[in-house]
Amino acid sequence: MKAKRVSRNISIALICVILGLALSWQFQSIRSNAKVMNLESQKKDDLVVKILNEQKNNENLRAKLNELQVQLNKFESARGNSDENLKLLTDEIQKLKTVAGLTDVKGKGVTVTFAKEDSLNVEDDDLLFVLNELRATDAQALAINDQRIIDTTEVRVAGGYIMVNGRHVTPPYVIKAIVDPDNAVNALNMIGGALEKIKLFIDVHVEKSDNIEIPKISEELIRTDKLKPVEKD
Amino acid sequence: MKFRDNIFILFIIFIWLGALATIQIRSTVDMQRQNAETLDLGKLKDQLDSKIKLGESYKAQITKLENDKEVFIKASSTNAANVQSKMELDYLRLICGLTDITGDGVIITLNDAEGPDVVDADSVMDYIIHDSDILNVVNQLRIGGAQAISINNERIISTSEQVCAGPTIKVNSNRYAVPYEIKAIGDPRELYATLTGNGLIDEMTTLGKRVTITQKEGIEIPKFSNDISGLISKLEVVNNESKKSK
Repeated sequence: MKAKRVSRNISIALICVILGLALSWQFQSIRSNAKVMNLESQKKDDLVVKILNEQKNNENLRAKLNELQVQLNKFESARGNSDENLKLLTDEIQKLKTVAGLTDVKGKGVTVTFAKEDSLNVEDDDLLFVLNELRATDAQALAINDQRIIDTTEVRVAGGYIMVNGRHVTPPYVIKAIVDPDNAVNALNMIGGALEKIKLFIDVHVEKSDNIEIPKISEELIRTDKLKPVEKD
Repeated sequence: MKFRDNIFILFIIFIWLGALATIQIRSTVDMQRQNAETLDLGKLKDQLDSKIKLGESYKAQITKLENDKEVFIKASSTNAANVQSKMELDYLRLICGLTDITGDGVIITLNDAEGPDVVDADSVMDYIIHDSDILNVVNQLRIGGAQAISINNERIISTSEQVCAGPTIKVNSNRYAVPYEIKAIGDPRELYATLTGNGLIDEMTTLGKRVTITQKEGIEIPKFSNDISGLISKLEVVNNESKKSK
C-alpha cells in the first residue's frame, strides 16, 4: 500500500516536471516569435513613413518644376526682344528682393505679444519656438518687434535683453507674421503646442489681423563675404 | 494495478495535449508572419522604389530647365542695362539661398543615443534628437555668424521650419530621419566656440546623444530647392523701393 502511494507521487511529480518544461519552452518560443513579428511590423512602419516622405518630397519637386516651366515659357516668348528681356529680369529682381526680405511687406497674419510685465521671463527659446511654429504653418514674412527675420537672424538673451539681428529689442516683445491667420492661431494654441508651456510663466496674447506690416531688413546686416558660389560650367 | 494504468494513460494524454497546443500556436504565429512579410513588404518596397524613381526624374528635369533658364538670362544680358540687372540678380540669388555655395565652416552631426534595450515610453524621449535640439544648434550657429546653413543638405532660409513629425523632422516641407547633418559656413573657429560655449552640446552628450562637430574647409551647401513663388504669394510689397536700391 505504501509502495503504491510513493510510486504514484513520483509519477505525478514527473508529469508536473514535464508539463512545466513544455510550458516554459512554449512561452519562450512564443516570445521569440513575437519579437520577430515586432521587427517585421517595425520594418513595415518604416517603409510606410519612407513612402509618405517621398510622396511629399515629390509634390514639392513638381511645384518647383511647374514654376520653372512657366518662367521658361516667358523667356522663350521674349527671345530676341531686349526690352522684354529687361522687363523679365527686373521682375525677377523685384521678386527675389521680396524673398530676401529687402522690401517692406504687408498682408494678413497674426501678432503674438508677450506681456511687458513678464518680459524678464521671456527666453530665447520661447521666441524661437513661436517663430518655428509660425514657419511650420507656412509664414511668409516674420519679425520680432521691428527686426525682420532672415535666414541668418539669431535670437539671443544677453544680460536681460534680447538681441535679434545683433540689435537690442525692447519689451514688450511682439512677433509679427504674415501667414494664414486661422491656421496660425490653431497651430499656436494646439494642445501641447508652442504656447502651452510658455503660458505657464508669461502672459501671451495672439491676435489675428488683416493688415500686418513687416519692415525690411537693413541691408548692412546681410553678410556674404565668406560665401563663394560653386563654379559650374 | 488499475491505479497505475490510469496514471500512465493520463501521462500520455498530457504529453499529447502539450505537444498539440505548442504546434498549434507556433503554426498560427508563423502564418501571420508569413503573410505580413510577403504580401505587404514586397508591395511597399515596390511603391517606394517607384516614388524614388519619380523624384529622380523630377530632379533631372529641374536641373535641365534651370540650365535652360541660365542660358536665356546670359543671352539676354548683352546691353549695359541688362548686364547691370544680371549682376544684381546674381547677388540677390546669393542672399536668397538660390546658389550652391562653398566656404569654410563647421559640420555637426546629431544622432539619437544608442539607447539601452529597456526604456519606457517616457524616458525614451530623453534619448532622441528633437526639433528643439536642432533649433537651438541652428540658433547658436547664427549667433556665431553663420552665413549659410543646411540640414541634411536642405538649405535653411528665413522661413525654413524644423519641426518634429513623428519619427522624422520636417525641414522646408521635406522630411528627414536621423542622423542629421548640419553644415554652416562662416568663421570655423567662431562657430565652434559659440556652439560649444553654452552647454547646449554638453547637455545632449550627457544623455548619450551622439554629437560630433568638425571644423572643415571647403564645405559645400546646396541651394534652396523648393519653388520660390510659394514663399511670397501672400506678401504685398508696401512701397516700391526701386529708387533706394543701389
